[in-house]
Amino acid sequence: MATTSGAILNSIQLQFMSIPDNIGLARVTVASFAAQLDLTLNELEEIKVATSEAVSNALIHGYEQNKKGIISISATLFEDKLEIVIEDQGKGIENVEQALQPAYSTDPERMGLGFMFMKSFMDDVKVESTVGKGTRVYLTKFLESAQKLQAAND
Amino acid sequence: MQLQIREEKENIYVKIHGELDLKVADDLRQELDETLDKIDKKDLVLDFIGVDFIDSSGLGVILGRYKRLSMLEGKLVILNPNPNVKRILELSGITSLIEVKDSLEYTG
Repeated sequence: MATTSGAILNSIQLQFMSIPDNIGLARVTVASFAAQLDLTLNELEEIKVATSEAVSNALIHGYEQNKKGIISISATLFEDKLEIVIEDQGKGIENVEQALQPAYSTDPERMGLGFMFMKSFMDDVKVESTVGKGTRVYLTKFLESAQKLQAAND
Repeated sequence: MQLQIREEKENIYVKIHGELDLKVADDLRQELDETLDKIDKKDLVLDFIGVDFIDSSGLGVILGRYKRLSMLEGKLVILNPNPNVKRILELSGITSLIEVKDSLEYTG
């Protein structure tokens, strides 16, 4: 599932039903995994928000609030980056480029902020989607040399 | 999520506890709207002292209530966000529309 970039130092996987109660569980789990790195509290909070947005998108758009979908998350620590992959087997996104635009939203109240937060808070955001098959969002945080060192030593 | 609602002289004061994400968005929207329907005051003060987390789903509810109030020339004020929540509010651009204050500055 993850793209290769140096050796894998650690990895977790989580699968859960597309129920809103699980969004908090997902972001706290991913943040706990990320807390193994020497990240600031701000950075951990940013990872929490980005994860929350990606999982919310899977629930709202991927599964259109159907609670029987399955969402998979993997978080992988490479030597030089942390990669979080959020995957659903929902309806997919027709136009990924448009969905990534700052003010684009199919829901006026959410203001299209979901992807904006993901892009602001992570170093790289990649979306793969196939209509009728599902969506995979890659959230990447590149690690500073000091963090890399610590990750390698742990 | 829990709300403590109080009618004050000039406004409606609501203290919010919890994490404002998709899980609570519908309930939050409904409870705030019912409060605005019930209590005839123009301004709404949301005390975020107990808010530990907010993302775009929570922000959407806040922005929706702001729109509702501003149509009737009412005002929305957010009090006491923690530093993390405050950063999210700032980054979303919502602080250019909605006043954000600490309690000490609030005389309401």
